[in-house]
Amino acid sequence: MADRICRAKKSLILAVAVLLLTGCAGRPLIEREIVRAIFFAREDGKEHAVLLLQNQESEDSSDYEVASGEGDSAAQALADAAESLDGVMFYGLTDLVTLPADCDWEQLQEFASLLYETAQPSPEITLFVMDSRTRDNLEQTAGDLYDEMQAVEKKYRISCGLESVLSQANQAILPCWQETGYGIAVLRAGAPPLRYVEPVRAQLAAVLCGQSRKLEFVFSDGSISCTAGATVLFHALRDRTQVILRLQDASLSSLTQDIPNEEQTLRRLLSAELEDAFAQLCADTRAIGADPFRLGFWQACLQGAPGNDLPAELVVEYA
Amino acid sequence: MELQKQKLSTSLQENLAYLQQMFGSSSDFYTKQLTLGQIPCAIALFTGISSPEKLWVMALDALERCPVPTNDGTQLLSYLLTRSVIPAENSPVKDTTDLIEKLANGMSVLLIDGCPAALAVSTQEMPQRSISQPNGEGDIRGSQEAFTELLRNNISLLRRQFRTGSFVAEVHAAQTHAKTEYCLCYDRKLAPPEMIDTLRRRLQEVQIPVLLDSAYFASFLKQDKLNLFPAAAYTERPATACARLCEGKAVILVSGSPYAMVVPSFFSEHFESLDDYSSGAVFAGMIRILKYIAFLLSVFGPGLYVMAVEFAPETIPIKLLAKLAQAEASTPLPLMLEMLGVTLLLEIVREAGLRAPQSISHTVSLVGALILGETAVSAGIVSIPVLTMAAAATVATLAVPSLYEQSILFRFIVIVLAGAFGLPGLAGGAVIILAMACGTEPFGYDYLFPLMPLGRASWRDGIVRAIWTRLAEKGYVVGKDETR
Amino acid sequence: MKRDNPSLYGALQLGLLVNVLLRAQTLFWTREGLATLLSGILVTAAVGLVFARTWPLAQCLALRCGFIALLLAGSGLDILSLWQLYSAVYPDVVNLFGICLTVLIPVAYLRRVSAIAQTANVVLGLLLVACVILVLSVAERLRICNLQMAAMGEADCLDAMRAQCTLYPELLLPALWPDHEKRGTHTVLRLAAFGAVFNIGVHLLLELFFGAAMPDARNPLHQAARCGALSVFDRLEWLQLIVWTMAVSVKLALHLYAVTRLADAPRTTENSLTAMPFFAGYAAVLLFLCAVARNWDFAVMSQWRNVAAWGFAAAVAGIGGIRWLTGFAAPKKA
Repeated sequence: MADRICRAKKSLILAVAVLLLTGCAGRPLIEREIVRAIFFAREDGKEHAVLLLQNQESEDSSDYEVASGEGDSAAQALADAAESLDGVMFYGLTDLVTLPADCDWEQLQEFASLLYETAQPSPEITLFVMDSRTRDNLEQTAGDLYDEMQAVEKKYRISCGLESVLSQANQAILPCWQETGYGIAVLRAGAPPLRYVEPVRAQLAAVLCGQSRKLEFVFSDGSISCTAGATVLFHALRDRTQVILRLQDASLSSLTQDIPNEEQTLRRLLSAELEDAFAQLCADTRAIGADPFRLGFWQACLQGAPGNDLPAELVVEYA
Repeated sequence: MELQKQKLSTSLQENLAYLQQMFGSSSDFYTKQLTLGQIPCAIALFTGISSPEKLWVMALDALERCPVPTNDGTQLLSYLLTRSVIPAENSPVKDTTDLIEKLANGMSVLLIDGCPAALAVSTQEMPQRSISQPNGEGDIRGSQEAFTELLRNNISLLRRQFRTGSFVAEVHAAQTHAKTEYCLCYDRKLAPPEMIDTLRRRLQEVQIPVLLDSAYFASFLKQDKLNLFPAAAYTERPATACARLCEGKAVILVSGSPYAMVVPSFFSEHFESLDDYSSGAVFAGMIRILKYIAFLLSVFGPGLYVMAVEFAPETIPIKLLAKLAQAEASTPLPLMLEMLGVTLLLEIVREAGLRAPQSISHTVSLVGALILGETAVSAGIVSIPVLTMAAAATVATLAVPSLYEQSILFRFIVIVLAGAFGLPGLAGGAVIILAMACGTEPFGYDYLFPLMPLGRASWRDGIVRAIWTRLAEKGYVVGKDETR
Repeated sequence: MKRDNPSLYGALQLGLLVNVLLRAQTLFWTREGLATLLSGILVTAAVGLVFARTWPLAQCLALRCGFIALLLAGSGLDILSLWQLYSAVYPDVVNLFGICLTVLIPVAYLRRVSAIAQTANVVLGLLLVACVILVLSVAERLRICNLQMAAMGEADCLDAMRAQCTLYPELLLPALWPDHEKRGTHTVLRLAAFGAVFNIGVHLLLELFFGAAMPDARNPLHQAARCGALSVFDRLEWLQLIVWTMAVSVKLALHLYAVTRLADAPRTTENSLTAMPFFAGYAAVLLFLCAVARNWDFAVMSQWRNVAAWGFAAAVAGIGGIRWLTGFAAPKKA
């Protein structure tokens, strides 16, 4: 009995020693380079990656550092940036990635697969298509840019995660960064990307493809401002697809004296503006063979055939 | 050394010589020779635990007033046992082992010349601690009595609360060197007979050098020796013991111990208290859930912290992470060792405060708190977040005091596994603890009852407590509601 | 509350869930899966039932050894798939030996049938709660229009059928133990249906979440989980991983119990524990297997395991069938 207890004790001590020797692979926080955002850029035929890192010397979470690298591919640029740092890269808290301004569908796929492989264990990464900033500019403004993008994402309730950009087989829709608000880029395999910078079209496109649930814009002529929550309903009819945009808590105001500040008038003008924007979006996307709003899907579900040639109309309703 | 059992001699002198040989050197051993009628007799007792006054009142006075009708020793014994008014023990003492046992129990023994047996009279008068309030089980309402060290008193405390004919208190002598007595109490109508039979058999089989507490039995009742969960629960409250008896469980009292052992014991019992049933159901339910959370915090809190900081920083909000990184950078030890060290130090301070004489225990606690709380942090030996987490876990442990030992051991296991392997280590620790709980089978019953399997019983008096009207509908009894 | 007849049905269910969660996803599209669901259930259940009937007739030393090998291979694959998952999520942090230790050490406490049964029930409950939390946390991101509308192809349907006809050891195991450790007579059928429906459910969730990117997603369930944020913590995938690791431990314990029965290994009479040296041997064999196979192609190994399982079931059915036809009397002990 005593012999057995002695053996059990020895085994226990051995097990604990093995545990301690084989494990202990944890890494102190201070040795990690915590990446908050990655800004990809393309300049002179080279790929650049600017990493926004958490400053580990500071207790303030909004204190950042910047590292950058370049290479023939985005992966090389990212590796180059990582090599310039002493610590171990940690992408677990990366929540923003921007892509070069001229990014098309094929490049998007490359970036997505690079992020899937590299950025582990990563949370939902929000993707933006960047404006045409240079690497130097990005290095200087990365911290502010990150904060501004976060603010815009929060303000317009944008959600464009890495997992959702490739949810359609040959097309994607992504928000684009611009100084005021955001734009939208429609990427289609084998076609040049479409980019909408005008707020009404960009925000309408984001709402219709499910990336946002809020409209907050001023008409391009500066006449009316609008703020509203938005939900979308698709009705597939035999001869057309009806997209019902339901606006909640809409707040409209006239910004010029030409337009009376009457609710009915403003609503009528808003509806007309949105319908125009929708028609333009449909025409443009059809021209490159894209269907970012999945109108074909609803036709196929409810009418049995995709009906890609059927017209689509937007109906604006106020809740 | 086992004394040889031998029959009493018919000669009074031989019996007295035997006793003199055994106890002659003991100053509390007292004998007095006297003559009853024409028969030489002797009284033997221990003065500290037996009262000569009681003996006078109960026996000698009566014998002096009533003349003895015989000159034969054996007939005298028969007369005293069956016809006299003396309240003697029913059976005569026939051998030396029984004689010594009776004397050690505080009885007075009357040895009679010419008779190979003696008469025992219950004249015990033991020094004892009065019934006081329980120290370790804080309850606001309900009975404030606690068990004492005297077995008979403890049985009487139980019987006073349990006033039915079905209450059974079996007193046995354990197989120890000191022949310590223990009492197996149960309700004949409620307790499953097979469980009581098994328990009785196992207790009788226990061979142990010394039995000072009911907890000594626990290890012998355990099925799986590697399992850290307790095989029994303990209480110093007769009221709690009585409640357990009403659930069909058995209570074991050991002479000299003010703690009763309750078997079988289930996991959920550690989260119950008498106050749960005195206060409102909603409040009691909330407190019970808080206790479960406290237990989980005490076991997994430090390990989870080590795992999150060392292996999975992405689970920590970024604002907190910056502060943790700074704190970690200011200390020299790896986080796992730091957490182990602080937890160990807290245990040392607790142990020192507990074991030190009362007059200096406060000083020990104060010095410990100062060293840990102030000096160690300012010297950069430990960081504030680690200290906070370790202290929170220690405080949480005290919310479920009966699982203190387990909480501490499990905490160390989880810290080591999580520190060594991260997420899978934490998962391994969790499944080890779960497997221990699920693998415990006190007398063939589910240790996790009524928590698992999840059913109506879980919500009636398990995870939370139902209102009394529902509880009163059908109280649970061990082995009688297996269908739920 | 009395543990007279512990049922291992929960442990078998848990084993099937582990198969789905760790390696069976993204093999087919939901629509094709639904179309072939019934046939998948019927085929696997039929194999399980035939195996259960023929095993008592066919069992011999060689087949017992074959079954043990199959179970060891299955256990090894489970550990390797868990290791791959951890390696993808936490690269360079957790090694294979660490994973082996952390899933095998708890098995030392799961050497009794009742402990396996009860622990499996608790872990099954935790796993289902974790799944519900996962679904709730990503509910906002599930989009119906992510479902793929391409016309159903024959190849896709075949893929779905093949995936659903994977023969996991859990469907064969009920043949090994006495009736009271199962649950009713239709254990295999219910298990097959449960596993297939859960598999389809997971695929539906993934397709709603990933859309066309589903087959390309590495460890898709983990990727979906990381987007969920219901708690004060920023994410939930660590919780998922913990529960999956616990489930793997229980599955290994179930396999150990089956190996113990097959090898007729010593079990203490009082509490029917599998002897510690036998457990140590089982752990050592698994450590060796994992070390050898760590660099092998996981997909190929899974396919070979499936082929071996089918071959083994066919051999048992064949031998058992012949013995039944020739009037062979089955030994009383299963």
